[in-house]
Amino acid sequence: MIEVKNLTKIYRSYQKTKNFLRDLFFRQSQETVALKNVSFKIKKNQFVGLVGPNGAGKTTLMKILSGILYPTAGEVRVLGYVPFEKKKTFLKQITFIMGQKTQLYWDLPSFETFNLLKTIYEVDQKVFEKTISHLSKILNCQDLLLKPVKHLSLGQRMKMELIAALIHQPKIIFLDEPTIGLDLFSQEAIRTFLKNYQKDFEATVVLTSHYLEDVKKLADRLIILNQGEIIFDDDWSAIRKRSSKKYLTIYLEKPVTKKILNELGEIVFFQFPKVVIKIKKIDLLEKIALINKKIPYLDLTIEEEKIEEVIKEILTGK
Amino acid sequence: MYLTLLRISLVEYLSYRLNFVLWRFRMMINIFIPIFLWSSVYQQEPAKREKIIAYFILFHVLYSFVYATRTHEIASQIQSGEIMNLLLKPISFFRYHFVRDLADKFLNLFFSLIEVAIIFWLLKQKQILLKYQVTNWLIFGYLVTVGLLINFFTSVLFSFIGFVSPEYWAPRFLFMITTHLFSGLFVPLDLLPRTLFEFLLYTPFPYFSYWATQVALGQSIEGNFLFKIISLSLFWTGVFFLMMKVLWNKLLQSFSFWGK
Repeated sequence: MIEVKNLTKIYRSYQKTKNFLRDLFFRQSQETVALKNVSFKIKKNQFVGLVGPNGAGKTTLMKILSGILYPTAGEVRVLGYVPFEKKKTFLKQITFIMGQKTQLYWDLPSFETFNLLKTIYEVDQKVFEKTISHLSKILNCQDLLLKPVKHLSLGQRMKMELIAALIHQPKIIFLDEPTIGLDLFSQEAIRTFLKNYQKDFEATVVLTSHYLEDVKKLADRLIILNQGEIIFDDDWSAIRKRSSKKYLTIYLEKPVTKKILNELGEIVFFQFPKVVIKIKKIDLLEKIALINKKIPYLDLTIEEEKIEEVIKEILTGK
Repeated sequence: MYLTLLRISLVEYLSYRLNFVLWRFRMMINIFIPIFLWSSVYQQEPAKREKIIAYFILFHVLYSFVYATRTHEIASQIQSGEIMNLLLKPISFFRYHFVRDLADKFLNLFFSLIEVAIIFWLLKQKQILLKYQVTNWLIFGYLVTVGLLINFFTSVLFSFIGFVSPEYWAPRFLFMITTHLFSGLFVPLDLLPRTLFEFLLYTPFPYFSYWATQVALGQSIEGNFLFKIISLSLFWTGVFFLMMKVLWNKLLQSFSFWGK
């Protein structure tokens, strides 16, 4: 479905100085490497999460895959097409949902945009009606279809954006920050919708989001990008294996000195009677034996390290 | 598809009614200024006065049709990154904007005709000299088409400044003022000094709507001069079309959409 081989993207920008004339006639350019020799494949019906810090190259990668950007080097094939050529048959099979940009006509009801998209994508009238009715029912927004977009809340508008993007039932969906700025309830509604849509229509989805919750709940596969390079590409179980820490939460029976707790590992939280300690996974048995021997406690729980922290460790290389 | 787009563009335009009314009011003032100015210049010569009023009335109608454009939106869409939405649609970018322009043109034409009727009534203007000959209408049709194409291509070209700089309004405004000045909006070009008039023939400015107005007014342009006008207008249409296509392909390939 998606095949990327040795993809590189270099941005050229112009430096501005305080000298207007120099900026105008002798401007200096500088190059920024956004993607460096990136290669991967995505199969049909996969939900892939692209994760990385700001400037890692996530959005650049999505823009290249959808055909907005022209790659500096390397090969990209999506559904067998070269995306930048923007063949109509290719564009009819993809969609790009940008949480921060709207494709709806601001002053008109969303239904007007849907009607136009129906004609652009040459969707059959019956299929169109069925799709709109189905999607608006799932998203619980039937009453919003005839309301001008400018009168919708951000969450309501996002629901309309989703319908607009899916009218032609695309095979590939690119999602860039689909839940940005939304409240928790709207975030949850959008996530449930996306997951169900992907299952029902067997779509391939590539998602970037700063809310790791989106990626955790939706993606089957995770690609971590850092400074334009892929530093992790696997499923969730693999990322669990990369976890090297555990958290011990102890409810103390009696107060103990900090010195004893320090022997166990890094104290994350300490307020009698609760104490949370971060330890290395390999030391677990040894530390539990130590607790049993030296610390009087009422309760002890062992927790996995949070995915966010594992990702942070992968990113920082620690 | 284009009919739906045309309808949506029209509805969208009418959603801000006060803006719309004030805009038409501005257009009325635009036409009144040269009419009153030139009326006073030719106060003692009624025939000439009538002729020049007819010129400005017709120019106003054609101006409303030829110059109406929404392509200035392209520059801000490039800067904000909103243009990406359209790039991802299986639709021609230029045709999309041309149809949006047509909606604007029809609306302008409709209201300018109402305004012209008001002007006729106010100024007790008797007639506009139209030559009812098929060839004249064909030439007129050709010149209007060429005018609106030149206007579309140049306007899109000025919007491309959005690819390289956020300061796209100043050059566009400067070009607009230059066009107004040299296309006959304030002064009929044949009243300019002969050398300047001759020089302007080789620029794109008279081909926006000046010659179309002259033909509609019944001025017979024949033989070699007609061939010259047709060739030069065709030349500028071709040049701007090619520039638009070449620049579009180049800029799209090099533009980064960074942070957009």
